[in-house]
Amino acid sequence: MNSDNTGLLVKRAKKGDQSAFTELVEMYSERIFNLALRILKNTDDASDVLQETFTAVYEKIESFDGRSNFFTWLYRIATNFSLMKLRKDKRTIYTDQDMEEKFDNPDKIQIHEWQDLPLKDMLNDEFRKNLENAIDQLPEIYRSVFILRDVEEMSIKETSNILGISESNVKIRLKRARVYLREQLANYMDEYVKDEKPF
Amino acid sequence: MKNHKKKVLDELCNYLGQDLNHPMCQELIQHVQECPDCKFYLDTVKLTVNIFRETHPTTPVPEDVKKDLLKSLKLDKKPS
Repeated sequence: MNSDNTGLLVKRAKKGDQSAFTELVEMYSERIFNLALRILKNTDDASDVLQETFTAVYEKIESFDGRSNFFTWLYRIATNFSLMKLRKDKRTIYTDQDMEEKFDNPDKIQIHEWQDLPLKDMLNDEFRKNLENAIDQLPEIYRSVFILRDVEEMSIKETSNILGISESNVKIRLKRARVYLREQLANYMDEYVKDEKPF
Repeated sequence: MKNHKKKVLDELCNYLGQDLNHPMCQELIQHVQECPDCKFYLDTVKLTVNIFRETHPTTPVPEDVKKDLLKSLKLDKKPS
């Protein structure tokens, strides 16, 4: 994706050039759809977020001042819509303090012997289900950081700009998300290793 | 887990918010190479991230969703 090209398209779109806006939609809709899908895990909800995001961008593009990168701006809007949708469905809202108590204490970290299993062995339906359950239980403030950093491969600075949190907070939340997911999967993998290895 | 390992794991966790291969982790990575428990731990965190990526590949936007989007933005008609 060429950022110079995006810049020119944004300039044209700001002046009301509809074909330029159409090109922007075509360039970025897949990434926005997948971002929403990874956060919400539901195609209908991801489709709604895609529509809401581009509708908001269409309405606001004239006021986009170009201080931030267009892509970062777009991602910020999409992430906010996704999180708003997620919050509507969630009964439990975890705070940073809840997660700190759960996952910052290395005494609670268990060592498991499953890291040598081939990745292909783990990608069975049961494992996927366990992973999805673990993601479901991951508080949304951590899920969004994990997806932006580890899946979308955004930098710490970009993630901080998108979520409107400090860079150090991005690092803390990412660490907790990774540890949380790893610990959730460890319980399942322990059982898997026991079943696979004859003693 | 022995006490010195708890301390190292605590430090390791503080760095895990960085890229897992970030230069700041070099000293810890060196320790990890020599410490089986820490190596286990770091490898399984990396593995968890990789598994998540593998199980969430990029999905194309469904054609009807694309059409609806362009229609709602009134971008579905070619300019005359």
